[in-house]
Parts: sequence; structure tokens; C-alpha cells
Amino acid sequence: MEVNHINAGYESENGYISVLKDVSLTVNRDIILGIAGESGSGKSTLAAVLYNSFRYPGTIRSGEVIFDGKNLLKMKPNELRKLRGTEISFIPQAAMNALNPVKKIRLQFYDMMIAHNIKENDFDSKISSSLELVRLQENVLDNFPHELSGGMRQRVVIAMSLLLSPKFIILDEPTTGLDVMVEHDILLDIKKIQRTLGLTIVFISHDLPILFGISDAIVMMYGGEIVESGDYEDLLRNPAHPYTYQLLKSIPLIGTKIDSSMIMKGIAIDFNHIPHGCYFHPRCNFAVPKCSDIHPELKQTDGKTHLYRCNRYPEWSRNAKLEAIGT
Amino acid sequence: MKMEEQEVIKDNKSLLGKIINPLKILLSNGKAKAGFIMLVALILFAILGQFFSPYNPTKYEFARGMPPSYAHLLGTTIYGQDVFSQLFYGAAPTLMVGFAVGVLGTLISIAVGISAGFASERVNTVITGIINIFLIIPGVLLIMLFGSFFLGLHQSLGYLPTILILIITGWAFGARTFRSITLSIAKRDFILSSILIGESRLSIIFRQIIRAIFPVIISNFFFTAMYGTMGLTFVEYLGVGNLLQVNWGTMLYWAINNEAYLTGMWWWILPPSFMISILMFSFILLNFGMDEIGNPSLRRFKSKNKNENKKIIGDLDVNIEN
Amino acid sequence: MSILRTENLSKTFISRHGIIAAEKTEALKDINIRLEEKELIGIVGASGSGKSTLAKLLVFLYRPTGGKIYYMDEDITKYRGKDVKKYRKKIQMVFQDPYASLDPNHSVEWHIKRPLILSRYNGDLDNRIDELLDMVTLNKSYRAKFPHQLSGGQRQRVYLARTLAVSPEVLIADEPVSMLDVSVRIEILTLLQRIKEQLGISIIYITHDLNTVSMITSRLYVMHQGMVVENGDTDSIINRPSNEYTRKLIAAAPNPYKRI
Ligand SMILES: Nc1ncnc2c1ncn2[C@@H]1O[C@H](COP(=O)(O)OP(=O)(O)O)[C@@H](O)[C@H]1O
Ligand code: SF4
Ligand SMILES: [Mg+2]
Repeated sequence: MEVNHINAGYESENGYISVLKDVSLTVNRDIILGIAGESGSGKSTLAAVLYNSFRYPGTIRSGEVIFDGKNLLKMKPNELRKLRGTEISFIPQAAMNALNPVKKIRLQFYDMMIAHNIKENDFDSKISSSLELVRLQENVLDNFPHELSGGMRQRVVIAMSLLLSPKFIILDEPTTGLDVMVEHDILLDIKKIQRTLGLTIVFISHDLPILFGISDAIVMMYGGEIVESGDYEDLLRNPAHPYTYQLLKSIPLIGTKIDSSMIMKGIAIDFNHIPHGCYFHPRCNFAVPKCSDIHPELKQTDGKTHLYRCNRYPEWSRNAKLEAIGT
Repeated sequence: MKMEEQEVIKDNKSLLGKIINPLKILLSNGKAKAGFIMLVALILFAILGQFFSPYNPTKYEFARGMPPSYAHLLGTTIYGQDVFSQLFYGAAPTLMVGFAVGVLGTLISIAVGISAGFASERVNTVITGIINIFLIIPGVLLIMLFGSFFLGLHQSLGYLPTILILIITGWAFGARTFRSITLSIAKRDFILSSILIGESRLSIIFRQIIRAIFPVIISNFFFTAMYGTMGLTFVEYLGVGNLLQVNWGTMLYWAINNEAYLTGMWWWILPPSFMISILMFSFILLNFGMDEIGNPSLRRFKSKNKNENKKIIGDLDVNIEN
Repeated sequence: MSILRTENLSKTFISRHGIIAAEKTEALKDINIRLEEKELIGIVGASGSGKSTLAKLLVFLYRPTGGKIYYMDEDITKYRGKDVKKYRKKIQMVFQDPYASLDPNHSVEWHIKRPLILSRYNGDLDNRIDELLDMVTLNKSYRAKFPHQLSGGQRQRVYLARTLAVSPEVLIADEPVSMLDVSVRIEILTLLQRIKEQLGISIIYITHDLNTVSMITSRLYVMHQGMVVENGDTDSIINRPSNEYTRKLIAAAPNPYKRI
């Protein structure tokens, strides 16, 4: 999948509010691409655009989403319908709470297959193979959603998305709201399914620790822009954008004691009042006066795949290292 | 948007500000605005009707069953009354009954519903039982029951008995609504928090619950007022109202009773039906408008390039499939 | 003398389906915990392990079905009415979801002023409100704001100021950061620690996340299926867990440096 120059936002009483600004990215086959950022950085907006399910008051101003050579955003409704579920599927944020509460799980699976004209004889085999992937027993089929725990509901939702064997899956915050044990189990399963079936997954989360744990490549979003992207290891070891660096530093870890230098100052960007220059400068520990004037472009580091959007790289990163040694 | 509302309200602490600002919010919504204008027009009509009705609406002094003419704008009834005068003069009592039932019925619903939803378990059970009794017994039966009880008092008390009957038969529905939302709000963290910091039950009800359910209160008011106006007609119909009073309910009653629709006297039956419909419609519009104001997700914004969106987005009704 | 202590505290929920059929859920079984003065302890466990039930029992939002609660060595299990009100002045609770714990119809100022009025604060209210806001690192300009104008982290700080206005001696924080972005968690945790150190308030920090609990607490109780399965010094539990379940919790703690 290739995403080119997406500009999208929301209509509001005060006119159009721009959220995604010229977002371009490429999702390579057979990997997990992580999209990271604090809540309100535009991740869910991007997810909905990728699936062409972005609806009013959401508005796409321009850009294209090329999937298998075709622009998803220009597709006709019936083309889209054919594609969805079978080629590409999307699990929106909090989907596990959006299961139909008055229908047994089995019926909800059936509904989906009927909508895609699957032969009735294949129903049961398809269901049982997708349940097996997420390690659920078949007896969940006879439950109502509310009779299942959060973790099980999430597994049901994942099983549904796998039902028609799509090759491309978009997951928006799939483990938010679950506790760490369940989350860990589900992440392990997602990884295993992705590797064995050779899926391409776009994994969206504000939770950096799990995102870095599971992704092969990572895109960092801030203020509706991509501020850094590249291989997960590059970002983890050598972040080129202070936002990535500061976020990673603020992660609570077992065995460390709390320290006020870990605090990430300021609050997530407000799309009504976007700062001049670098959007991140009010919160950046390395900002210099020019940062509030010059809006940095996306540049490449020495490694070809590692992109960043900062006026002061690699200068700031040397300073940070010196500081770390100093203390 | 919400942010601004709050700020506007905060800037204007004066009494005038307190009245004008909610009104501004109300008028910012198209539906509410239309309903409001219709209602104001009806109220003006009703007030004027008290002073300027061309003839005495109760006198049988004209030729019977005459179609509309210059002298009788809406013709006369089969008894020789002037229809327009009846319509004009009868507006005020109709509105008055509707509003009285709306206000008093809603007050009772709030009191009963909230105390059921936020009282101890035992009180809740008892009150819920009472509400259910009123809901289960058919309204018709209640009207007959209380109607015949009040019948003897009718003459001296004017509209009071009718209003009382309609309140007695109309409060329970709202009370049930209030009870169930109160029950759900009472479990919310912000109410638990108030319990923890030591707020009394009454204080929580007045400071927090009433504010939280305010949109529902308003909508319930319009609903009950609607019931009141309609009720005026069927109270007459069931024969427990005072048929000598002039209002749109009695007008309809007499018109229908004399089979005006069969004898072609449309000028007798259409005007009151039309006016009642307009009144209902204004209530409904206000009700929907209020819902939208209270629930921003129902709102739509003006957009310059909506067509453009449509083109790109394609079909709007495809659900997000998992 | 422990400030707060439980003795075989149990809670069984009975949910009715119809008139006769009833289902019993044992949420807590024989819980024994103690909190010393000026201590910050942790309770960890997966969801459904009974942590929130325990928190709600301790502030009397639920009644225990067995066992006892002691406050300053006084058995308070049977407290009713006025006594409960008095006790709640000493012990406050922070909720998990900062988007639900503040009343959307009231300003920040109202949220802090009410507990001050109710506890008959007899200094200058305005000064005190500013002081409390300052304590949670918010400035005066926040007084007039409404919850929907605040981020999750700011809401949680306002909520902390509200509880501090009661001048409690014990604070029970039920997953105060789990709904927040990772980037603001540290801020709230630092705040909890400061509240303990500067105001001498004892804190029970409840969470499912071993990362955060290991950073600020001195002692730890690990809960599983309504029971305490391990307890002791935080560092030694983390370094040498003796219980299988604790080991699993440690393995599941999110870590960007560990591949999934
Ligand atoms: N329905 C909506 N109407 C108006 N603004 C919205 C709507 N949904 C999201 N936004 C705004 O879009 C921005 C990005 O939101 P979102 O994509 O949900 O971020 P994330 O997934 O990172 O939490 C936020 O500022 C949010 O307020
Ligand atoms: S451009 Fe300046 S403010 Fe922005 S991230 Fe780089 S150093 Fe920080
Ligand atoms: Mg999101």
C-alpha cells in the first residue's frame, strides 16, 4: 500500500480543522508497520482514511491511497465492498465494544459471510479456522458479547477480521483498555498470525512500549504530520527526532526509579492552535529560537529508510548523548 | 463550540445575559428555531384572541352551518357559533392547559423519578411499584375514574379538574424515564466522587443530577405538554371534560360529534385540527432541536465543498466491517 | 500502628437472574493488607482480580461480606451514616477514568471548592484553591476551565486537587494512569510520590502494570483471583518473584526493548 499526500480534517462550527497534513507513507509487504503518537495526534484519522471509511464531519481534502495499484479513495461503493474483508480489513478503535449486543457471536460471523456471498457449506470451516488462529474455543460462538471478557471479545473481533483471509489488516489500538497480561497474550498471537500467514499489518497505538515491541517499521506522528519514520531498531537506538527520544525516555520501566527528567513537558497538540515553525517546539527539550520560525521538512538520515523532520538533527542528538554521559 | 458556549455564559453574569444566552444557543439550531418561532406566533395568537375575538364564541346567534364568508371568516357551526371566534378565543385555554400539564407533570416526574433513582433500595422499590401501577392501568380508565370524581366540581373550578386529570394520567411515563437515567448517572464516577467528598444526597440531586439530565427534562416537558394538548381533546371525548368551555379540544369534539366531515362542513373541523397540528409540530421541532443541542454528534455543519467530499468518499452508508 | 489494615476481608457479589436463580461471585477472599503511615504501597493484579472491589470496600462504596477493616486500630467495619462520613474525610479515592470522574457541567474551581466548603475550611477559599492547584502543578488560569477543555493528565491532576481539598490521611489510587498516554504517566506518578513526601499522606497505588508500580512503591501485594498471592518488599518481589503468577506479570510488562 502506498499513501500519497493525504490532507484530511474535520468540519466544525468554526470551519474546517486540518488534522492530517501531507501524509505520505509506504507499507511494505509482510511486515508490521507501527503508527505511534499520543492520543489526538491523528492516528485514528489516518486509519480511517487508509480504509476509506472516513465519514462526515471528517473530510478528505486531497491525496490518494494506492492499494494493489488502485486508488481506494476513488473506488465505487460496490468495488470497495468486495475488497473489504477479503483483501483488506480494519479493526477500529474500541471495536470490541461495538459488537452487536443482542446477537450471538455465531450470527455475527454468519452476517459477515452472507454479506460476502460465501457458500453456506463453507461457513463452519471458515469460522473454526479463524477461531483457531486466535486460540478461541468454538463455544464462544453461542455467547452474547457481554458474556465474554474484554480479551475474548478482542479475539473475536480479530477472528472476524481474519475470516475471509485478507492479506492486509489495519488495527487501531487493538489492546487499549485490556490489562497487561491479556494484552501480552494477544500481541503474541497477532505476531504469530502475521508471521505464519504472511500478513501485512498496520498497527496503531499510543502505547510506545508495545508498539516498539511488535513493529518492524515505525511511523511517529505529531500534530497530524509524520515526524519520524524508519526501521524500529533505528528509531529505538538512534531516534532522529526529539519527540521520539523524549517519548521513549518517559516510558516507565521495571527496575528503574522515578526521575523527574523523564517527564514529557506540555500537552498534546491542539489542532485549533497549531504553533508556528516546528509543531513540537513548545515541548522540545532541544528547541532553539529558529525552531519557532522554520517548519522543518522531512529529511533522510544516512540510512536510506530513516526519515525525520527536525531542524537540529544530528546536533541535538550529540548534545543528548553528552548530557547522558555527564550525569 | 461547546467551549464558546461556556465562555459566553460566563461572561454574562447579569440576569439579562442569563436569559438571552440560552436563547441564543436555542436559536442557533435550525429545528429549534423554527419550532420556537411557531410557538411564539401561537402564543401571540392566543393572547390577541382574548381581546380581539370578533364575536362572543359561546353565543348561538348566527345562521347555522354557514360556509366561510367575509362576516364569518371560518363560517359558523351547526349551532350558529362563529368558528373563527372560537378558534381565536379558544387558543389561550388550549395552550394554557398544555403548558400547565407540561410544567406540573414534568415537575412531578422529576421529583418522583429522581428520588426513585437516587434513594435507598427500599424507597426505590416502593416508588418504582407506584410508577408501574400508573403505567399499567390504561390511561383511559384513569381518566374515567378521576374524571367522574371531579365531574361534580367542574363548573366552579374552570380548567383545574381537566389539568389535574391529565397530570395524574401523564406523569408516570416521564418518571420512568427519569428514574432510569438517574439510576445510570448515580453509578457514574463523578457522582461517586461527590459521595466520597461528603456531599449530601439533596445537594447531589440539585447541583449535579438535574444539570446532567437537563436536556431530558426539557424534552420531557414538550412531550408532556403535547400529551396535555391532545389530552384536552380526548378528555372531552370520553365525556369527562366540561363541554361548555371553548378550546380546540371541545371544538373538535363538537365538530366530530356532529359528523362535520360527513356533512361537508370542513370549515368547522379543519381549523382546530390544523391549529393543534401546528402546536404539536412546534413542540416536536423544539424537542428534536433540544436533542441536537444536547447531543452534538447529531449536528451537521455547513460545508462549502460538501459535494467534493461526497465524490471522494463515495457511498456514505457502507458500514465499517471488521 | 498501621493506619489502615484489613483482616480476612471478603466480598461475595450475588447477582440475581429472575427471582430464584442467583449467581455468586467471590470477588475477594480473605484479604489481609496493611498500610503504614506515610507509606506508598502497591497492589498489582490483572483485571478481574478484585483490585477495584478492594478499593471500593476501603472507602465504603461497597460493604464487605466478611472480615474486618481497621482504621488506626479501630474496627470500622460496622460504621454507618455519620461515622462513615467522618471516616471518608480521612480517606479518599482516585478513580481510573479521568473522563468520568469529573462532572462535565462544573468548572475546575467548583470541583475543588465543594470539598473545601463541606469540610468547613476556615481560611481564604480562593487562596486555598490556588494552593491546591499549585500542588498539582496547574496554574490559576485553570480555575475557570471545564473538564472537556482539559487533557486526560490535566483532569487527573484536577481530581487529585479535589481529593487533597478534603485533607485526607489516606489516598487510594485505583489505576490512576492506565487510561492516560504513556507520556503523561510519569507526571502523575511523580505527583503521587510528592503528595506522599510533602503532605505525609499514605497511598495505596493500584494497577495492573508492574512497570509503574515498581517505580514508586516500597511494598507490593500481588493479587490473583481475589486473593493476595505474594507480598513483600517491591524490589525483592521484582528481582526474585516466588509466585508463578507474579513471574507471568513480570514477563508481560511492556518493554520497548523486548521483542514480542
Ligand atoms: N468526530 C470528530 N469531530 C471533530 N474532531 C475530531 C473528531 N474525531 C477526532 N477529532 C480530532 O482529530 C484529532 C485526531 O484525532 P484521532 O485521529 O482520534 O487521534 P488519535 O487516534 O491519535 O487519538 C483530534 O484533535 C480530535 O479532536
Ligand atoms: S526542529 Fe527544533 S523544536 Fe522541532 S524537534 Fe527539532 S529541535 Fe525540537
Ligand atoms: Mg485514537
